[in-house]
Amino acid sequence: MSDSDAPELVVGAWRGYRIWRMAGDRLTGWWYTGYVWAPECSEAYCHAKRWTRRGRRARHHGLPAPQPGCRCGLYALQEPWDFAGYLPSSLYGVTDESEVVIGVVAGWGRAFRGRHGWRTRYARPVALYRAPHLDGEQVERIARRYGCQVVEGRSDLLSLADQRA
Amino acid sequence: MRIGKEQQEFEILPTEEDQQPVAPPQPEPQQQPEDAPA
Repeated sequence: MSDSDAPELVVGAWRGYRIWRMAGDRLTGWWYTGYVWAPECSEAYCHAKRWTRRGRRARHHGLPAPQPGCRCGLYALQEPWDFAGYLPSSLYGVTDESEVVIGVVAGWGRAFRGRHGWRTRYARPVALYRAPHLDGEQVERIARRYGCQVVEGRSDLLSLADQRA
Repeated sequence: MRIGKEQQEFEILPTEEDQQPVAPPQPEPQQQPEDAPA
C-alpha cells in the first residue's frame, strides 16, 4: 500500500446518530436484528458471501470490517433528523418505528465516511432518547446495561453528538 | 442505513475517555424469589 492509499489517521472517536431496536434489555441492529450490541464495545464482522467455483465463500475472509465496497460495519448518521416524526425512509428504508430507540453512538477503529454518515469497526452507545411513546423503564434498563445516558429532549441528544463530531 | 456510495477510509484512534462508559453501568438489584420471607 502506498502512502496515498493509507487511511487518514484521526484521534478521538466519532459521534453520530443511529437507531436500535429494543429487545428486552438489549439493543439489536436495525436491519440485522440478530446482532445484539455488546454492553461495552461492539465489534463489526463482515458476513458477506460470494460465489466461487467451490460454492459460497466469505467475501472478505480474514479481513477486518468494514471493507470498501461492502455494507459491513457499525453505522451512524452524521446529521440529525426530525426525531419527532417518522424515520427518514430514504436512509433507513422502512418506517416501522415499533421498538425503536434513537441515540448517539461513538465509533472508532477502521472506518469509512460517506456523505450521510459513517461505518466503523468498533462502536458503543453514548445516549438513548427516551421518546414519549416508548416504555421509559425499558429505556432506563437498557441504558444501565450499556452504561449510557438517557436524554429527554432533542437538544440534549444534539449536544452529546456535537461533543465529538 | 445508507451513508452514501462515495466513502473515504479512516483509522480512528480512540482516546481513553472514548472507551469509558458515559454513565457507569449499575449492578442489577438482587431479585428475591416471590415466596421468600420478607
